[in-house]
Amino acid sequence: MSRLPALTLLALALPLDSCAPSLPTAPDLSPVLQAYAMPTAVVDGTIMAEFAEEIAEAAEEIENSELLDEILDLLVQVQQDLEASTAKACNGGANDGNACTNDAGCPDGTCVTTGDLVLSATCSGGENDGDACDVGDVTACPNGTCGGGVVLPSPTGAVNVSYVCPGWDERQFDEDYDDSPDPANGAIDLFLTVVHGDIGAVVWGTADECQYLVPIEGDSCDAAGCFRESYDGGIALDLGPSWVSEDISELPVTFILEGNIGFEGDDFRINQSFRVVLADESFLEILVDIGDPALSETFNYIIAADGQGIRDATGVFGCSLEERRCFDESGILFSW
Amino acid sequence: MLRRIRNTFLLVALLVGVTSAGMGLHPSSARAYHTYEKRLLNTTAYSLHRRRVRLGLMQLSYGILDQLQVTTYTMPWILGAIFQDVAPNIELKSTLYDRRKLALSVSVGFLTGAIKQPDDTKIRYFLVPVSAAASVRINSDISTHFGARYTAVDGDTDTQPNGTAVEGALIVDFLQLWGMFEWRLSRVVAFTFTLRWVPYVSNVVLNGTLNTGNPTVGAQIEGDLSNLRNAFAIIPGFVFSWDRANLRVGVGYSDFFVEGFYVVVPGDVLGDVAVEFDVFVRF
Repeated sequence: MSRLPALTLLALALPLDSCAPSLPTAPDLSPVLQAYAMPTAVVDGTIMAEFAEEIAEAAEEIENSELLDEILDLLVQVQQDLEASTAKACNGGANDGNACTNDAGCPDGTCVTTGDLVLSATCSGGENDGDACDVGDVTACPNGTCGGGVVLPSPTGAVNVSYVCPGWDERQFDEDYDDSPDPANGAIDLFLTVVHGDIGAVVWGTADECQYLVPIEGDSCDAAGCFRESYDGGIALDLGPSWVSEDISELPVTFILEGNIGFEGDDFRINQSFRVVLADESFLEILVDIGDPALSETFNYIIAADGQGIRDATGVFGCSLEERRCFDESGILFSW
Repeated sequence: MLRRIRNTFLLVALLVGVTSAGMGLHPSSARAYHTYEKRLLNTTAYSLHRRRVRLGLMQLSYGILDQLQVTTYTMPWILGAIFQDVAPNIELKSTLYDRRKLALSVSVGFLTGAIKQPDDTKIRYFLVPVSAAASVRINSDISTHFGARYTAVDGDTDTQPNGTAVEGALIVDFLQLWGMFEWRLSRVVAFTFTLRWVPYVSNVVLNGTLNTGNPTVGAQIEGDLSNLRNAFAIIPGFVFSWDRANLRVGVGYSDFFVEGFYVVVPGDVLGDVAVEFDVFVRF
């Protein structure tokens, strides 16, 4: 009987090994989003005299930096990977409930996502029998089916994206360039959440001396050279509630950056939230925080193709940083 | 493929041979019939006495001490061989207390193996079941048995060259409760009525790498297994105990609790049929 306590202890100790790890939680960006939606400051000439230069500098740094494209390209890639691994099933019709990859496989029904994530799937039958495949890829298994592997029903958690930056080698735009990741080029580490199979709107993380080139003209450095840019600091962004079903380049994306932007050897400190629409290169909405504590008094400065403007507690009106005045339909409101 | 089938047949043949040998070569020492000393072992708090053996199609057990029995389930070995990797498993069961009308036991074990994918990558698994049971002898004919089993499942997989692969670990924990009513109708026939219930299943947690390129995509994701919560089975059955052989058979309703694998197969997969079966000798 003396062996029994040891056996009991073993029985109690072993299950502790499989305690589930805690999942990372997304930062709460709702105060910032609320500030965009409901600006509280009443802007006048005094305020603009104090903040106009700061707004102009921030706008220039943001417009010069291609960091946003780098980050959003990453997210689109991850979004596509996850979508490709999400199981689909027929809704209605003759094959109701059966696995499918597109509507063609669902006579009189539609092929809809189940929300279940299928990883390490393989082709069964057909030309690619035994090969790895993605369940959402229509072309992966000709004359066969893609399945098996690890199924995560209605997944919830966090995805970590680690990206080694492309660096400043101008040959990177060449077709035969060896793009093996080089840690010396810096990296971006991002987290995004998955809630019941849907990717969450908030993405956050850091960039560690991430170096990248921005062609001055065209898609390579051949024509007019490239700008050498970098970013080192924190990143958080909100893609809005409908980003999974929409083209990400058409959506307003809210960024919060706190770090250093490098541009052709010069460093600029940035601690700023702004909103961009990738498809509209001229659109930029900057959150101007003039209160203490933070976000207690804010307004939005908007730069668009058809002009500039301010949204504050009183509404929206036009403005020009260059002409140092703001106006509405009735005329000049104030100048500085 | 032929080699796999041959290995499987060899294993089955070996198992049947061992059981038959137990039946045929030890007639004088083979012990059966339901008696005060010879209690049911499955789903109860009882274990084999020292140097006693139970050889069955589904499990093989040996009494190391009077209070300690070691068991290995045969199906993981056989099915493991079919998938080209045998699944070693051991369960130690100890009857801590056996006085008057009450017996108490604890048990702990492990099951490990791998499922080979068509592209030669593997999904490996490691299960640790821990259970406690109590048996109450109401009178010489009627007993009741209760127990709880907590099973921790760890798994991991290799990465694959193409597709969205996963390289990392999977974790699931679940708790099973059971109760069994046993009525000895004669020294040969015992009626059993078993209830099994899973009140708790954790979410499956994946901690791994989905893509090893640039970018590397890691994931810490929980999958929802709530559809397995409240899985249950109601299984009436009989245990026949003759001079040499014993037969345990039961057919019931709802989810299938797979003995030896410690897992539950949802009822809709097998038409809501739950089965218990074993043929064995004890000596």
